Amino acid sequence: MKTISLFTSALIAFLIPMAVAEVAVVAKPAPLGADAVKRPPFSMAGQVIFRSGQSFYQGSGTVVYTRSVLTAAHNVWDPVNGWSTGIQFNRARSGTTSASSRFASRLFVFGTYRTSAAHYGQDSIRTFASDLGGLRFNVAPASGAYAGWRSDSSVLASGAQVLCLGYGAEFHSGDEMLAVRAPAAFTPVFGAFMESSALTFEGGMSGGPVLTEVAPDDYRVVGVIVAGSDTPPAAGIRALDAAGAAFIAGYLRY
Amino acid sequence: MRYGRVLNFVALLALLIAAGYFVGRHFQNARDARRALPRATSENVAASAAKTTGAPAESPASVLARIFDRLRSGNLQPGELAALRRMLLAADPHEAMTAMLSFLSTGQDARTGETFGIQKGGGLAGAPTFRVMLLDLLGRIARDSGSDEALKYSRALLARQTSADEWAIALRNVAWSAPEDRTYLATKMREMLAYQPWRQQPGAGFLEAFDVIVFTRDVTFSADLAAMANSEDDSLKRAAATAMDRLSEMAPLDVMNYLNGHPAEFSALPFLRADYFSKADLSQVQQRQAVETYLARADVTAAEKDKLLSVLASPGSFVGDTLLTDPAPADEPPQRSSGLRAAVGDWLKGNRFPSLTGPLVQLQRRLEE
Repeated sequence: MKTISLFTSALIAFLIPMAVAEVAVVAKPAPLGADAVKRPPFSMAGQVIFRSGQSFYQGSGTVVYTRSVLTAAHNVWDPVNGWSTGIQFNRARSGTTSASSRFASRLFVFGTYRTSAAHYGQDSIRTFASDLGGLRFNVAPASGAYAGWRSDSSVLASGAQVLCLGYGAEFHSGDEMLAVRAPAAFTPVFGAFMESSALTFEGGMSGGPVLTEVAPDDYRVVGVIVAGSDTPPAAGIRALDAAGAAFIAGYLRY
Repeated sequence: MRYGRVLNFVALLALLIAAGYFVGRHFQNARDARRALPRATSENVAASAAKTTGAPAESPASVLARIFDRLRSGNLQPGELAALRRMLLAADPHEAMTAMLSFLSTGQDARTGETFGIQKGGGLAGAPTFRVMLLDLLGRIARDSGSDEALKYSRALLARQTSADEWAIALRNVAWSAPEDRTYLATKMREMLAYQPWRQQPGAGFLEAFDVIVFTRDVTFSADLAAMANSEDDSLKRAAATAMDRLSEMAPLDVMNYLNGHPAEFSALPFLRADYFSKADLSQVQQRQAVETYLARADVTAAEKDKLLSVLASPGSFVGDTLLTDPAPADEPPQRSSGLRAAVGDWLKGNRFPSLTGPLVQLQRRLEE
């Protein structure tokens, strides 16, 4: 009897931490705080407010060149209302304070007739494979500073830690930068669209950066947040592949 | 004793759960490994295939036949199609085209497992069938060598509805060889759009063929595009809206005049219609007049006009690889922004559009940033 009790206790003691670890695997976005957003790489990300049709929406983006911001295409264009207007980039916003606030002067969507959205429908997982958008500004949003980026999808599948940033407005105010780290590898789903069930994103984080740490405190953008689901937990990103890199180098190199 | 049994049961249950968990983890890992496998092995196979297909003694015709047999029997290794492409592109153009035309005339085909994809310059990065792959290579080799073989074959192919993917490449081949024959291209494009089996289930080739519309700069397609932009099919809707946007960029004056002359077109999608006027270069007198006509129209709502004035402050472009047309330039000509500033200044100064004073002042402010 005593043996059985001991065995059961040991088993429970073994299983509980494992179960806890399993739950902890799904990482959720959490606010960074006003001080953190002032430091790189966080200071290069920002909130994107835009108008589509008669409504206003929110997304996220990252300064990737002196006067250019990388975001998600669906923040920039939709098939009913066309090009978004009044796109405002509030860099490193925290509450009512932003490091800078600028209106975009030129928009780009990376994709043509058969963007994945065109072929698979807006709600399809495949929609997001080509989902890159670009914003250009007349005035540099970060006084000439910008986040480094690299085309390296293998990093995302390698199991290395990635840091994802954005302004979630689903469960948070939308005015605070949220961060979530991915402890597990992203799996290629279709084209450059990759997914992980180890973390979740929140509505409004679309267009935010997926960063990898190449050296201590030295981060590079390797992807863009494009999709997310809380139940089941899923986080979709558009990796910066060679085509994505060519888009940035060709149209956002300012 | 009874307590002991319960404990035993709980322990067994826990053991089963634990075993299930680890077994599940094992299969999850195995699944992940299977996903990663093709990528890990393709390079080796490609290298091996390149060696095999690059054998100098073998003619393009025999390599083509051999690779097709392997594809049809399911024995083709990843990388072998890429090696075949390289071989055909590097071979004597006449010999390669003769081999491909001979094969195409047999009507045989097989799926390649690739998806329809376009690379820089309009060539295919991926072809879903063997015939589409050969049609693509035929067009590329003919273009580079100045041959009219691809033109002749493509025109013959366009006499019957084979597949939308084949038509897309055949239309591209004709446009490459006979770019001046826009009437023929427009006629065939209309046939393609009207063919219900393709239109009802629009695939990649069907959608990419919308670039032929942009290439022809034929604004009379606006009616077809408006109908498709209003359709139930998401992919058609998006492709039509995008094609109209790009057509407006390529032929702004013609599109604006057409839309002003046909007020019903795109009236159900007012914010899209506003975008099509945003491509105007207001430093050009006629384009400015077309925009002024639109802003003065009584049938256009204030919200739609507001959209135009907003999007003029931050115009948008689709960029990417297409079959025929060049993507929008990264830089806009400086006269475009100076023309816009001058027009907005004149409109405000002369109180040309009193109901739009607010949006015009806002636009002027944005342009001064």
